[in-house]
Amino acid sequence: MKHDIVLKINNETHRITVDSRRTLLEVIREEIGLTGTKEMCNKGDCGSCTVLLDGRPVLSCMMLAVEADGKEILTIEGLAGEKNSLHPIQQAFVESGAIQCGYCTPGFIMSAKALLDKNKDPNVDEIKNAISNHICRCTGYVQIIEAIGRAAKILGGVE
Amino acid sequence: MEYFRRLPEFDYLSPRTVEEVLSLIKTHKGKAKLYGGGTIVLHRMKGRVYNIPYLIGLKAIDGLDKITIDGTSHIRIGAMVKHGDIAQSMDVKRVCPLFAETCSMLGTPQIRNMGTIGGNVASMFATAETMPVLVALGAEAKLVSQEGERIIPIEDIHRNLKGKEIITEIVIPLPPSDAKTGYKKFALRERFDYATVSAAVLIQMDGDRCGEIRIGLGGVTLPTRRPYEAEEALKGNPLNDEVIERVSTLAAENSRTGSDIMFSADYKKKLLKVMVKRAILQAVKGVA
Repeated sequence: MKHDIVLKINNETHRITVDSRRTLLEVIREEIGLTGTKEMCNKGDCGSCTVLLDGRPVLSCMMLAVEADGKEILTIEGLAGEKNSLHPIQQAFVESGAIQCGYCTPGFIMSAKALLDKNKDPNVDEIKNAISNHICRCTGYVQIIEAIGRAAKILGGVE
Repeated sequence: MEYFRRLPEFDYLSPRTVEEVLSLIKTHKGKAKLYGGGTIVLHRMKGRVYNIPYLIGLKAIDGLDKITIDGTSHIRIGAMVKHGDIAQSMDVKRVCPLFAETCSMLGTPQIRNMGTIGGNVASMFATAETMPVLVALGAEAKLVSQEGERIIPIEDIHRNLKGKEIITEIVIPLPPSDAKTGYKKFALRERFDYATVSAAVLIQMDGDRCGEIRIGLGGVTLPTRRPYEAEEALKGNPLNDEVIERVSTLAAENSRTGSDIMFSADYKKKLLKVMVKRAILQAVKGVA
């Protein structure tokens, strides 16, 4: 079954026709062409496909595109500033060495974004909770937690 | 189990009212599944556990995503309310903090932003994490079919929910102000994994003795979710160490657990006993 839907992705409106069986992740990557959002386990365990739906982190692999009709979606591509400058959270990940292969990074950063939008000064426990759906097999989590703490400081104007 | 990265072919139907849902269930009898938050259904579709031509999406239905406080007696939570919304609801935090807390401990932020209370209850998973607390609180589920509505105690839902019915609402009686509550879950990774076993209690004291008590267990087979014998053993007794030991032993021994890849059924019973004991201690003494 085909559905005509409207997706507002990174402030850009896309009117597309999708089949029922297409997940939001597949549509973001294959129809819209935004490949920053990653596909990994495809069963809700790893968090790589995390996007913000109306400001809240969701797993785009475990959601149908048709369900996102009319919603606002933010992907990693939507974070960059003018002239593709890095978002403070991205900057903090680079500075803290929180990236190695980089595959899990967009997901982590989207969850960090959702956390920092609500909580300007999270403690370590709150950061761990926010990234609990994410798996990183390279760096471990120490630098990632550090990076999110650093991003909070940058965003708060402390650093 | 074989798992496919792509979904099989199906039609996603998006009814606007509960009546439309019921008529779609009838039209596509045996060939459709109700689709709430999607976290369970899509997993089963990709694993080809479900091979069905229709999904009946419940997201477009008005009114199933509301939390309302019914005077001073009940809190009504629509079946499509997400766990995260319950965890953050000021109303639920005020009148039933135990349930808000349970929902905040379930899964991960993403799962809590997707999964719904109706889906968790309807999943019939032994590990459905809202269930122990709902049992302890004496919650009921409102089931609607074309024949009408009925209200079922939550611990009996596995025997009652029929394919032609939809859960529209979970109704929780507000705990009396003097009620003591506790909830403990055991999970390998506290923040991510399903609770292997869990226990929730609601206790009302009668002087220095236990008056009313309800216990809800998680990680056990569905008919043993509420350990009636253990509840009876506690009623009228002082809550001393010896009684608590006896009650938690009874609750664990009379429950049925299953082995899984991590834990044997016997080990789960041992864990369960500890969880029941800790939940009671948390309720009466406020300690972990």
